Amino acid sequence: MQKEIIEESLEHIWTMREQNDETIENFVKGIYVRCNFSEIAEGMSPEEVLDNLKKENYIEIEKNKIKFKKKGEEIGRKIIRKHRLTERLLKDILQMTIDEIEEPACKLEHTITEGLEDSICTLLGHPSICPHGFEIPSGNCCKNVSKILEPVIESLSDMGSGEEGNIIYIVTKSYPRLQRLSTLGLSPGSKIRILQTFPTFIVQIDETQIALEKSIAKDIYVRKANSQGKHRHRHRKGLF
Amino acid sequence: MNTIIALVGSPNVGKSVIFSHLTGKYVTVSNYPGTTVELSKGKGLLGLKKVDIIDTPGSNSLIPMSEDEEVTRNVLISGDIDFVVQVADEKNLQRALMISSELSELELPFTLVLNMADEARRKGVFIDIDRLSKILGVPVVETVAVEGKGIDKMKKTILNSSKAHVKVNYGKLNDSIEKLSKIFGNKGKAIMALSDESFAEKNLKDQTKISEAKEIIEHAKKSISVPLFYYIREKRREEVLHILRKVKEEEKVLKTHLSEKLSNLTLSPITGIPIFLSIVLLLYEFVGFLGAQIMVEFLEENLFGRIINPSMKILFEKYIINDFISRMFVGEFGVITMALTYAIAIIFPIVLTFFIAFGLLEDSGYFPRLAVMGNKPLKFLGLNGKAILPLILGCGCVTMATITVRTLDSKKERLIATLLLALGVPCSAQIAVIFAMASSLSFYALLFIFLVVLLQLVLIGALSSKIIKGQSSDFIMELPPLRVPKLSNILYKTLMRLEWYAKEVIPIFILGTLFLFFLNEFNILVIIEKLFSPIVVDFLELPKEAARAFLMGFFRRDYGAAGLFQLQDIGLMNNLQTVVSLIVITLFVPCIANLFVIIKERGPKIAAMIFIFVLVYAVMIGGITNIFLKYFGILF
Repeated sequence: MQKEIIEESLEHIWTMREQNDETIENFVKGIYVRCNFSEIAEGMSPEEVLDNLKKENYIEIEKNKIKFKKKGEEIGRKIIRKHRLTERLLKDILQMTIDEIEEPACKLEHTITEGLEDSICTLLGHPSICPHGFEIPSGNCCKNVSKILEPVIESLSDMGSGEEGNIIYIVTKSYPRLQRLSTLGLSPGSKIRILQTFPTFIVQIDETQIALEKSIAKDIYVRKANSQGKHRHRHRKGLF
Repeated sequence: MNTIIALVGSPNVGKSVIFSHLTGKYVTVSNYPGTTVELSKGKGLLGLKKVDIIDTPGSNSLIPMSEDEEVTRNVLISGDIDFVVQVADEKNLQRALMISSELSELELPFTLVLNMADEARRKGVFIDIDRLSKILGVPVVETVAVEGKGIDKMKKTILNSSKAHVKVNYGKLNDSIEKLSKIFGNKGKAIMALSDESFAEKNLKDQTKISEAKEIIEHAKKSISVPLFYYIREKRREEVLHILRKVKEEEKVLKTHLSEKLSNLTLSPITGIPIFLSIVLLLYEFVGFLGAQIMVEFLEENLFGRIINPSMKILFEKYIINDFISRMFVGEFGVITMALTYAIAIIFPIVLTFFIAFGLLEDSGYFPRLAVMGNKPLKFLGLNGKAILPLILGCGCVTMATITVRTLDSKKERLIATLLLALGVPCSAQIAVIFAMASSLSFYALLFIFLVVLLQLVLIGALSSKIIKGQSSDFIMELPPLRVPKLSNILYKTLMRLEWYAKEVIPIFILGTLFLFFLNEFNILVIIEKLFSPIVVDFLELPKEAARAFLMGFFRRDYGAAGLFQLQDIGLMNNLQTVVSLIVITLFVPCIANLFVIIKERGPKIAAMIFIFVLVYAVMIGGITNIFLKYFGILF
C-alpha cells in the first residue's frame, strides 16, 4: 500500500478516536469524506484498506473496534500534527479563511518533512490547537522550546507592555469565555496593544481598554507587528 | 396605544442619559448600574406624539450571555417595539455596527445615535455620518448627551427611523439561515436560533416546527467545525469592517490626554495603592465623619430627640388612649421612636453622603480601575476583581452592598461575597462607634481588633472558595475612560437611589421594629437575654449586660457597639473585655436589614445557613481570642 493512503487512514482513525467512535462502520462512512480517498486508494475499498493495515501491523480490530498498534499510533500522531500545523500555517500566516484551508492542508501534510514540521511549529509559537479547535499533538520542538527562531505568533501572556499585534486565534474550550471575549472585540483579526501586564493585563482594542487576567491572556495568540518594540531591544541587551 | 421605543446599546455608551433626555423626569424605575436585570420605562414626547420609552440593560450583542442581556433580547423580539434607538459610543463604532447589523436582521426600524462625539474628536476619530446613513439605510445622528448637544435633532429623527439593509454574507450558513428565516419569520431570529441552543424551544410553539428547526441547526453544526456563534460573529465582523473602512477616518493623536495619564497612575501598583488609600480616607471623612457623625448627631439628637419624638409622645398620650398602640408607635421599640428615628436620623445621612460619594466615584470610572488593583488579592478569597465594589460598599452599608453582589458573575462568588459581608465587613456607622470606643484603648488594641477581623475574612474566604462548589469566573472587564463627573447627573442618581431607599429599606426597618416590639411585649426579649447569658458570661467572660448589646447588634450593628460603649464607659468592662466584645460584635450576625436583603437575594435557606454560621463563628472567635490573650497575659 502507498504511504499516502496509510497516512490518510491512520489520520482518520486518530480523529475517530478523539470522538470516541472507532467502529468499522464509522471508518467506512468517514473515509470517503476525507479529501481524496478515491484518488489515492487505487481502487481499494475501505474494508480492504483496513485489512491491509491490520496485516501490516498498524492496527488491530477487537469486537468491531479499531485500535492503534504502537507503530500505527506513531504515524497517526505525526500526520495529524502535520495536518493541523499546516492548517494553522495557512490560516495564520497566509491568512486564508477557515473554509479554504482544509483541502490544501490535506495534500501538503504528506509532503512535509520532520525538520520542516518543527520549524513551522516554532514559527507559529508551538500552537496547541488547530483552527477548528482540535488538539495538535506536541512534537520534540515543543518540549525544549527554543528561542533561536523568534516566534511570529506568541501568546499574549508572553508579550510585554507597549507591544502591538493582531489577534490570530484564541484557544479556549469554554464557550462563554470565548463569547465574552469576542463581544468585547477580542477576536481574531483585531489589532491589540498591550498597555500593562501587572497586576493584570490591560490591552487596548480600538478605543476600548480591557483588563483581563493572565490565565485568559495565555489563551490569546497574537501575531506581533513589526514593531520597534522594546521587547527586541531587551533581547539584544541580554546577549551582551 | 402609544408608540413604543426601545433604547439599546453596549454598556456605558450613555443610554441612561439619553433616556432621561427623552423622558424628562417621568422615570418610574431607577437604574442601579449594572445590577439591574429589569427594564426602565418612561414616557416622553416626540414633537406632538406621546411615546413610551424603554431603557434596556447594556449589552454588546443581541445574543445573550447573561440574564440582563436576555432581557434586552426578549424585548426586541417581543413584537411590541415600534422603533429602536441604538445608542453608540462614536469612537467605538465597530462594536456598535455589530449590533446595528443584528437590528437590521431583526427588521426593526431604528435610528443610530453616535454619542460622545466630543470624545471621538479628541481621540482623532471622524465618522462620515451621511455616508454611514446611506450604507446602513437608517438615520444617523451625533450627540454629546451629557451636554444636551444633538438631542433635539435626535428627537426629530427617531420617528423617521427606518429598517436597515445591512447584508452579511454568512458563507456556508446562508442556506440554513434562509430555511430558518421561513420558520422564525426573519433572519435575525434565525441567527439567534443558530447561536443559542435554547432559542428555538423558547420561541416556537409548534412542536413540528421546533424539530424542523432543530434539524436544520444540527445540520449546520455538522457543516462547520467552529462553534456557530463564533462563525456568525466572524462573518458579521467582516461586513462591519467593510462598512467601517468606508466611513471612518482616523487621525493619529499624539498628545496623551490628562485623563489618560491619570488613568495610568491609578492602574500601576506603585501609584495606584496610594491613590486608593487616599480615596478611602476621603470617603471615610465624607461618609464616616460628615454623614455618620455630624449629620447624624444633628438629626438624631436635635430633630428627633428634641422635637419629633417628644411631640409625638405627647400627641399619642393625649389622643390615643390605648396604651398598647401608643407603645407600638412611640415606646422603647416604637415605629416612630425607633424605626423612623433609625431610618431617617441615623441611616439616611449615611446613605445620602455615601450615595453622593459613590456616584462621584462611579461616574469618574474609578471602580473598574480599583477592580484591576484588587483582582489578585481577591482571587485568593475565591473572588475576582469585580468583588471589590461590593466589599468597599460594605464599609458604607453592608445591606446595600449585599444587593450589588448581583454584579458578580458566578453563583459561587455571589455566595462568598454575601458571606464575607455578613461576617466581617463593618459598616460606616459601626466603624465610627468602634473608633469612638477605641479612643480609650491603645493603638495596638485597635490594630489587634482590625487584624483579627481581617484574618477571619481571609480565612473564611479562602476556606469557602475551596468548599463551595462551582467555578470562580474569569476576570475580564472593560475600562471606561476616566471622566469628570457631571454634578447634575450625580444629584439625579442620588435622588433615584434615595427613592429606592425610601421604598425598600424603610419598610424593612418598620417590620423589624414591630418584630422587636412584639418580642418585648410578650417578654420574649428577656428570655432571649437569659438564654444568651451563659455564653456571654461563662464563655466570653463578659458582663451579663453585654448580652443585650449583642441582641441590639442584630437590629443595628452600631447600636450594639454603642451598647458596649456604654458598658465600658461606666466601668463594667476592662480593656481586655472591650477588645473581645468588639471583635464579637464586628463578626456578629448581620443586622436585620441585611438579613432581609440576604433572604430576598439569596433565598431563606442560604440566609439561615449564613446566619447560624456567623453567629457560632463570632462567639467562637471571641472565646478563642479571650483565652489567647489571657494565656499570654496581654491585657492592653
